[in-house]
Amino acid sequence: MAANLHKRPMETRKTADMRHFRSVGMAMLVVVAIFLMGLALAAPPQSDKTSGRTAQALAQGVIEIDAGAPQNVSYGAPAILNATVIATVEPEESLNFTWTFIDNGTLRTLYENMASFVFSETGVYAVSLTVRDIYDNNASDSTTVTVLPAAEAGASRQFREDSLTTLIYLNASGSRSSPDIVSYVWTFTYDGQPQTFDGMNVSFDFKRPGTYNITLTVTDANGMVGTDYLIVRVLAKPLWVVEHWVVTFIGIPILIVALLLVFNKWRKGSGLITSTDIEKAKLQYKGFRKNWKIFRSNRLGFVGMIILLIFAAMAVFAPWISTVDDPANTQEPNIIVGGVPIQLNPLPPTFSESPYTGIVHYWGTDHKGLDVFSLTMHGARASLIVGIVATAISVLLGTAIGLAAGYFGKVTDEVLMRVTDFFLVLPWFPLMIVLMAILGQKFIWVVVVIGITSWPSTARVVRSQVLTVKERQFIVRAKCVGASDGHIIKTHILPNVLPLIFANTVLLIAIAIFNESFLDFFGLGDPTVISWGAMLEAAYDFDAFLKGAWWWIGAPGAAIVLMVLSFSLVGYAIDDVLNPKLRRR
Amino acid sequence: MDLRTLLTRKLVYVVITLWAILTFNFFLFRIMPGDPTRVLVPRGGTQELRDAIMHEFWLDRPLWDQYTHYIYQVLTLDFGISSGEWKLQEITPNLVAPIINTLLLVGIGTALAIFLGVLLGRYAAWRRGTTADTVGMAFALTFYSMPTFLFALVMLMVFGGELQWFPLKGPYGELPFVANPPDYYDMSIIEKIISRGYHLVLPVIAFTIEVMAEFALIMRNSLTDVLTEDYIITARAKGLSNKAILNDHAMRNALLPVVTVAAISVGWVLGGDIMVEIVFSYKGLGYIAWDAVNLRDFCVLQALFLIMAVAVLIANLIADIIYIYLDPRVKI
Repeated sequence: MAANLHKRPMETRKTADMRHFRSVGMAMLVVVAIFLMGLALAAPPQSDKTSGRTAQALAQGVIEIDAGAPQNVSYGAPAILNATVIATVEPEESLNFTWTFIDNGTLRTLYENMASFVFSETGVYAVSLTVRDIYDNNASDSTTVTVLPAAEAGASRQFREDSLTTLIYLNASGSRSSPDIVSYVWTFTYDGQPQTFDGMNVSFDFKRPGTYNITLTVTDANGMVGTDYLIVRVLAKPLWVVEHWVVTFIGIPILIVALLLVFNKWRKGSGLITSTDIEKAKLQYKGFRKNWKIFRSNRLGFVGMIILLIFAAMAVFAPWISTVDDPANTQEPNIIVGGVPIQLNPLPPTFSESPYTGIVHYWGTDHKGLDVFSLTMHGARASLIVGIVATAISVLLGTAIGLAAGYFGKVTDEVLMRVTDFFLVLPWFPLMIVLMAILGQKFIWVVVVIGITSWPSTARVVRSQVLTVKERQFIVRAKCVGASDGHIIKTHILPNVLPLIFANTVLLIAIAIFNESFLDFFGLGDPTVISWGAMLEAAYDFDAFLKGAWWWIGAPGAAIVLMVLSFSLVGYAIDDVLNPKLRRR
Repeated sequence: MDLRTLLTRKLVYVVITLWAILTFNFFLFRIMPGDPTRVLVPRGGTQELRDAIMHEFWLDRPLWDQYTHYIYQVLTLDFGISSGEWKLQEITPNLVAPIINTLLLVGIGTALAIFLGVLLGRYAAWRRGTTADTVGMAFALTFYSMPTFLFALVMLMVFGGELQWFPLKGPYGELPFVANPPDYYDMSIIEKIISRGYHLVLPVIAFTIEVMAEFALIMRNSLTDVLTEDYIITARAKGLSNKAILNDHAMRNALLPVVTVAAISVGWVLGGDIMVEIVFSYKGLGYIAWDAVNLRDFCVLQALFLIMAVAVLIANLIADIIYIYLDPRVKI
């Protein structure tokens, strides 16, 4: 009751307010309406000239036309002359239109309702229009066409702050005009200061990041002025973390794990390295020595590992090994005839050394004159990064799902395994294509897509291993003692499962590299990243074999095969070491 | 569990998976970032055109309506309208020819690959440790590691480009030893078959060798496992001939994992098919998928993904049935 009593007055006050506002609003509207009507009545009839004339024309049975507003056209572009019939007695189809003007000293006539004409020089042209009907009633009107010089400032460009090429050549050589252009003026604001430059070709070093609107103004001998605009965008240098995301991606987890280890030690109050740690390390070293012996006895696996080490060295030291600094952009110099670049020299693809720069192409050049040797060295980076990071993603996902399914069992197992089965059934090659098409061509998407399409097999392997480990005595004992699930998984299950999936992981890397080369070959990878797949794509597109450029296919092709093969060999060898049953063969 | 219950269970599982694939396929193209009309509407299209296209593709309705409509469309085999290569045409009738082309290539290729792969794997496992085994496995491992497109590319450039023994592209059109072949539709039935066969040689060889390598590796691993089992020693002790041991005791058991892995690796087989088709410009499903990706024709892509997923599902079902036939224990 109290609430109601309290509420009612409030409501009435509110409605009263509203009513008040409404009446004031209505009054204001009425005032405005009256004011507008007064204005309309007092004002002279709009554009009395035209309407008055129209009335007159209709009365006399003659024609009224309009030749259009004065227009500005660029030099070389057609001027559109459009006649509008305002009033006529006869049907419009029967009217004759005549445009007359003087171009280049001669009298020109055009007989169309809507005519277009390209004037031969810059300047102002008076164009007159005459319209005649079949009874010889006529009318005329005139308009002006101003032809301005066409200014062309070149395409918009984008640069990065720290790149070597922020020195930009502003080029106005595309500008056209009939009497020659006498002055070119470039104006823009740089660092808060207005800058003005004269000349057809101007260079300026845009060091600071920002967006620059550059205006080109050209003036011809007649004094006509044309303008064009150019946008130069200099991007700020990205943060180190963003630029080296791979390092960050791998480094930060390692750092976190290391910090956690140290923190645990500190919490337990023990020293950083205790005698138990040393004992453990000794045992592990012993086990490692034993496994290493078995691994070494597998000759193929050992060879594979050596090849992999060579590839790793290639990837790490690529900038120092390769013969050119920037293999994706360092072309052979052009042959220049009369200031115009004709072709690259020597004509690519070639196997010979460059006569100008003295660069020896160990493995020849490709169609753009890029050094295949250096490209192959750099390509190892993309393959290894994709192989390792994508596999890390898929192993993390697969292990998590397999562990959960195997350890918790029952409904969790059922649901997770149905999901895994579903993803196992999905054709992952088409799925990769579809995902890349939807997500866009970024290197990180290549990694992620390969990672998330290859986890189901890991999940299955992990689950089956967890199921066998789970039934062992020590797990049951740990449970009896009262160990938590997290503790059991961490200290008992994971150490027993991980070595077994290690071989699977190495084989997954091989498949990931395989997939990466596939995506790059079919143009779904990142075009800015040097990769073997992309090199093969270029070789395919530009008919390497027909040009006899076997090195162009051979180098990246052999690299892919060798890398995948050695990962497979190492994987099988590790499988041999960790699954003793196979050793009986 | 009797056979009928088993098959019923498998079929129910297939139907559920089919529904899951349909749903996944539906959401895959809608949940993803980006405005679908950005792709569908031509550049500079007006708002009316945009609205009309949104309406045509049911994009202006609630998600549930779109979903039921999509399911209905797929069940009536209507995959919508293409915005890419077959401009604004119905997709379904255009898919018939590519499906036939792909079935020819994949059918012949896979049959050959399984047959040869099992033979090679069997041979290598039986003579494990000998030179024949090493050579055979080196061959298989090399081709297993070689991307299919690379091998296809080399085949195309050597036998198609350099030696000109085989046509460079397409599923049909040229005839061997005929300079100016008639139009494919004017050929007699025998000429048509010869033309198709002539065009199929290179793709089938490339596809077969790549897929064969995988089957050979699986077969060898599986057979070596079986050959170290005790019952093989028992068979030997009984004085059975080598042939009897291999065929009746070892192969029967070793084929089981091969069937399982073969079913799982149908995705791999499809990948090989896509690569071969693209390199040889062989107008099958894979080539069309690639075209659709390049033209961002998502309706075609959606249809193709569904068809491929269903193909894998059917292959799995067939593998299950073969498994039941091979392994009598499942029936008990």
